[in-house]
Amino acid sequence: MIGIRSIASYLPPDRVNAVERGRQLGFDEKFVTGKLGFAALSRKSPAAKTSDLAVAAIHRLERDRGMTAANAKCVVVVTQNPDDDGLPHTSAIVHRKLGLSPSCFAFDISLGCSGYVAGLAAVIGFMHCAGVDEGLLITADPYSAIVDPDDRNTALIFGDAATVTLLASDPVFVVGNFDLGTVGAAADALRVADGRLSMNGRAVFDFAAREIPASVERVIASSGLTKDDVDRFIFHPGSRYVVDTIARRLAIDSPPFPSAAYGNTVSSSLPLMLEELINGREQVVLLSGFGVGLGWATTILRRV
Amino acid sequence: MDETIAGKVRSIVQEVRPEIDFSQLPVSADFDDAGLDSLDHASILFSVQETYSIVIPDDVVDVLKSIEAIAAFIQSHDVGRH
Repeated sequence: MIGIRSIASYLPPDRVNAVERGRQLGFDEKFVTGKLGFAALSRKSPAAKTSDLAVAAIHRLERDRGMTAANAKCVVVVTQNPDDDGLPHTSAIVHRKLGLSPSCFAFDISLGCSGYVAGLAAVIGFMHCAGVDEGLLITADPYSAIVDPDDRNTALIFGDAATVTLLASDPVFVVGNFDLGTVGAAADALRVADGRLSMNGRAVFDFAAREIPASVERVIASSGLTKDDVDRFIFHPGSRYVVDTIARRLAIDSPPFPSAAYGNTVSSSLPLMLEELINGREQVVLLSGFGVGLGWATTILRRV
Repeated sequence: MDETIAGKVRSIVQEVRPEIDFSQLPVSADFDDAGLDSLDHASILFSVQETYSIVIPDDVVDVLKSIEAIAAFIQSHDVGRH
């Protein structure tokens, strides 16, 4: 059974002080840290490309986790901010930078905040179909490239990061069931035009408050579990407010919010939090990512 | 203004920010002046949509900033007592 063997991440060291920036944009500290939830936002250097962040995460997988990337037979990058103009695909550039084998297939997945969970489904499915027993799922979507620092809707939310998840046949966590969906009618609520991100915050909030609790309930039921069986809920940290809203509608305690220290890192958000649990005691973990599309992807992990 | 609808809207506002007492909030008071922020506003409108099974379009959001305005909007959709 292919599942999650290890996770590593890279957070660039630079930070934007969200409280100070918020003050400049007319928000008080209570709103910035209490409602949006982010005290600092990680920032890559302007010259760093998406593939550089991805490679940095893989180096940590090898250095800090004792894993090797060279055995991977697929390398997949989840991003909507690829290197240069997106052709060649960023995963091929990562493949080149790592010197991976020609027998390792590289492809990108164009998704935002649902990308990690959807990527698990896509890559594990690919690995089963292709007869591959080791693969790399990378998330690297540096929004600093597209966020207008003067946009009050988006300037205080997003951070840059990359993660890599080693998927293998000797996993720590097995993955599934899944619940996935898209509300394409609301696709324009999060979009890039003329190189800048725009967000209809109310539409995204409505989507998350309506769809995510229902998705969580469905995946728990389809897995033969109850909410009490879940040791940790990990929701995409769109904001602290939306996470608290989802938790309240599910009648569960609001989960920890470690993203406060570095921001909403899009598809890297969930694996960054999951990385902290990889050697923990949690037996059942629920992941739910949601955003661009507007789409969601929810799954259950079970420790082997 | 329909007092029943206004009372329900007030209770929605109270649920969104339970730590503030809104029982004496004038129905015409602007939410900004009542200590409610943009996320509270989004949450209030979401609950109104769910409660009355209506859709509040984006182009009227900015004027629905008081109990009175929201109640009038609900009443105009003839769903307030459903």
